[in-house]
Amino acid sequence: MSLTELYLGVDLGRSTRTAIVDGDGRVHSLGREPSRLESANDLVDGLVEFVNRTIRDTSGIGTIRSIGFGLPGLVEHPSNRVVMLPNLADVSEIDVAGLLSSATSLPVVLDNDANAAAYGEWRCGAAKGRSDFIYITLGTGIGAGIVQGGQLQRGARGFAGEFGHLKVTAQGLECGCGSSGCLETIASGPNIVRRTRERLFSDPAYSYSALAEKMRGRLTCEDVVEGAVSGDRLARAILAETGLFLGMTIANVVNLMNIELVVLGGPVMRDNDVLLDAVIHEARRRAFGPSFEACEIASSALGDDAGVIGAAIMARDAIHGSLDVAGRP
Amino acid sequence: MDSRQIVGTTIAHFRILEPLASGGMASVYRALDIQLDRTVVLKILDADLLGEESARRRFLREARLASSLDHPNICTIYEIHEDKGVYYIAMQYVEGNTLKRTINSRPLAAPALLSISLQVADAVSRAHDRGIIHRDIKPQNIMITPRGQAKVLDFGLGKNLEEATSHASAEITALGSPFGTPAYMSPEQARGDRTDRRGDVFSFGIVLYEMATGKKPFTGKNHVDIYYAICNRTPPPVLDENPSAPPGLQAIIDRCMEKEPAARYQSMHEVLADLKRISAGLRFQTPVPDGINQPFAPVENVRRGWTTTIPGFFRKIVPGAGRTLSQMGGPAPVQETSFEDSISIPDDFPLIPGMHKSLAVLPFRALGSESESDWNFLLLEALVTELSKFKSLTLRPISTVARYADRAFNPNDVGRELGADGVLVGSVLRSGARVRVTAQLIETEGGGVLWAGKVDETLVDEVTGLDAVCQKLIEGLAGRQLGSDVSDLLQDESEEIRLDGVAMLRFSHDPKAVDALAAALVDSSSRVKAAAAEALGRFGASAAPAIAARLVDATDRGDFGTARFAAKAAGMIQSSEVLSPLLEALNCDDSLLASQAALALGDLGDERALPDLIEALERPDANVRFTSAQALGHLADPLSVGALEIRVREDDDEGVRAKAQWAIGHIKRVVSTTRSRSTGGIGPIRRPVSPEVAP
Repeated sequence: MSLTELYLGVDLGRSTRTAIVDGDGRVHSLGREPSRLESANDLVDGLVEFVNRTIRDTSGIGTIRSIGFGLPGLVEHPSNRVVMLPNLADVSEIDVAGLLSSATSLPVVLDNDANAAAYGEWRCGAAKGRSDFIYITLGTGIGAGIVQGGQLQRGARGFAGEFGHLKVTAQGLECGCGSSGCLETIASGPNIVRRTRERLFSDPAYSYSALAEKMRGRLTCEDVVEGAVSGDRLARAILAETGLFLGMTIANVVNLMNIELVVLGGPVMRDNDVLLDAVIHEARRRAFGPSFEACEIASSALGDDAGVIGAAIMARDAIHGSLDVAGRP
Repeated sequence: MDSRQIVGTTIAHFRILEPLASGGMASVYRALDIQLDRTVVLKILDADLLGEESARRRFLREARLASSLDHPNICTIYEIHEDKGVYYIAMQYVEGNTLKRTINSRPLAAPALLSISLQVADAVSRAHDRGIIHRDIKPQNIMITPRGQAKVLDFGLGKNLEEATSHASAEITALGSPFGTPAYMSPEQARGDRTDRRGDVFSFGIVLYEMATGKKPFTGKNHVDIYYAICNRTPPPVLDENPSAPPGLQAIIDRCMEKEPAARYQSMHEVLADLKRISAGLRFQTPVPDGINQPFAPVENVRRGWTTTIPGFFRKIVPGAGRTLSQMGGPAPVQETSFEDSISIPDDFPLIPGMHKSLAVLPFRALGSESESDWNFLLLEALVTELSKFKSLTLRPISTVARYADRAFNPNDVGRELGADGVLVGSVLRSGARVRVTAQLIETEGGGVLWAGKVDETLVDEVTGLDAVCQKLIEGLAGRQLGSDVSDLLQDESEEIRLDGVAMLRFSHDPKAVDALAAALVDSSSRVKAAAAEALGRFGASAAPAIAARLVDATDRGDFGTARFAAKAAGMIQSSEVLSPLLEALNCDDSLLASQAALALGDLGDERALPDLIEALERPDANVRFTSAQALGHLADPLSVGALEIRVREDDDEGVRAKAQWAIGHIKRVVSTTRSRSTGGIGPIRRPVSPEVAP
């Protein structure tokens, strides 16, 4: 009896996630462990080791045919080179995809993690059946995958979709990308926490918010979202401000591209109707009426797994020659 | 026509009230727009001075374009008319002082400097966006309202006038050196070359320098000397003149005042962006742009002990007193009476300047249902009688002022109508036998509140009570009562009253005020602590000993709540005297105090804090790591980048990672800017203009 053909998705971030899917897109297993962030070499070594271990653990279920690999940086196509990985480590001198392919003896499809997540939502999530949409992921960083005319758009060299680095203010803070005023410096998870901490520190009595109790330990974006949901005024103000900038930027995209759907995903959007409502409100206010009416703004269906599942499905479609990507493969 | 002759006449729908200024090109009046019942400034300009018809048309067209500018920091041009060869330009009447007077030859404190400069830069950049160049930016053309709002005057007139006059008669051009005010000109302007918006950038740099140092950067015995200095000399560093100038301001001023336009900021937006960065650094705020710059309270360098806070005090203490204030056009500066004892009724009445001073005491407003107008009128009579004992004071007769009873009025207008230098207004609140009288002495010109006070009295009988109230008000006006009242307020059981007490002390120049505010840091109320800390910050380095002592004392006693506010105040005053107590606080066990100390050390900008702050990045408490990263960003020393990078990679708190990421980016930007300037990359291109081409 031949073993089931399986596809491995890998999503690299501060944690490395894996997903095993079959040819029908069914998810067989998910894995996750912290990435090694000490250096670029450690990061890649840890990745290869985890992937090999996952492949070995899967041997009883089926055979991995290919690997889809998403990471939060600029991935150049068709060279498959990681040009920039601003929130993790500088791996620009390392042929990550080549190393992974040699170490596993499997073909590897490398892409930006937001592109992979957009692909996942497109094939089996909130954007299934759509042909013109944008998927935006908000987590440690902010990225986007753009599908237009039924094809994933990577741009001339593969760098399209850097939604988090759209400039939303001329006077903004310095960003990890080397520029300043990026949306990411306001609306990413860490920056939401940063802004919350700053507001808390502006009053040495710490009387603004119940979140002050969490300041001594870890204060997470989830804490802020939970605070907002439970009516904490500071948390709601922070998310309202986040929604303003995010909604404004989305209005620009709606006006520019006349898309039919915006999917918001990533850890920041998890159970975060407060932010979703603020975004919709602001985008409606700022976009052309007819363009906005033609567009839906929705939460991700695959949640935090969109990237890793999408990467696996990209691996599947690549090997079957059905990867719907515009331009060069 | 003589400017005095025109007063009282009506031109178009403007009734001329009084002359304000007169220059070579225009006469300026305060006028009443009869149609809209609003006070305006009316500039009257002889069209002949503008030369040919085409020049006149261009003047009108561009002045009208300027009138379309809608910005909170630009004095609005309402209308421009031409009638029988005369142009009438009606513009917004702005109460307050010019920036020149606000500076008054002394450096402004950082918050005031940044607030004004942000507002002006925002205004100028907006105008530039519309293609309007000012060409005569100077402190005299910037008004500061009593609420701290900056208003740039004469947009659209400078360039137009200059262009127009270039076509004017030989007599006029012969008189005319380059258009503008010599000390605030750009080099190209001084040379008489064509200028663009970068000329405004240069002039703005000069205004920044003057705000930071109290001095003009380019001076000379005559215009030629000044032009030469502008084109060839580098002014003394800002920090030499004012060591407490905001860090980073020098770089902005330098770049504004590059001799070569191409080496300057190419737009006011860039200037604004850098000013916001400095401002954000000082305030510990994310500079989220909202187009609104918070006005500051214009307190530095105005007359002794002026403050904008009394109206709040009245509003809180006397319900309904806000009505009186709104009549007066909002909060205005106030002089607090000194703590010092004084003689009972001196010959001189010092609150109103000048040899011969006139005062109108207006009928007191009755507040509350129990107040009686007869008693109020008796109080008016008694006050006028007592005040007339000041030999230097001339009182307006009661028969003249009585008509203002039960009428809404603007005290400044009344003062002008009655020809009085000052106006005393007040209100009376009665509740049974208790009476509270509040009073304010308002300067007719400028509208500042020169003095404010309150008297509480229980009336045994009407006449005795009247005398007691009257006497206390006179004593207050003579300089004896209010100070002790303020000290009492800080002990009041009501938090609101204590807050008012702190607010009243904010701008006092009495040395005891600092001690009183430092004592208020131990108040049980966080609001009072916060207000006291903020107030202390305004005193600058003179408050350092009191703040340092309070910080050490509170830390030693384990009163970390108080110590946190003391640390916050320490960060605001830019004095090395607080460095040591702050370092001790940084290393203490209370993480919130340590965090406030880290923030303060960042604001202080003293590099000696660097090793402790780098070490604090390893502290187990995320608060301390977060604030230390913030502080290291402000210190901008590349030595800290390695430790910050470790935070970015390894910290388990998202906020700390984001803050460290910002700090690294910020340090790199600062270092790169400094390096490029020192190597001449994008920095100063000193290209002296040869004396032959200089005027």
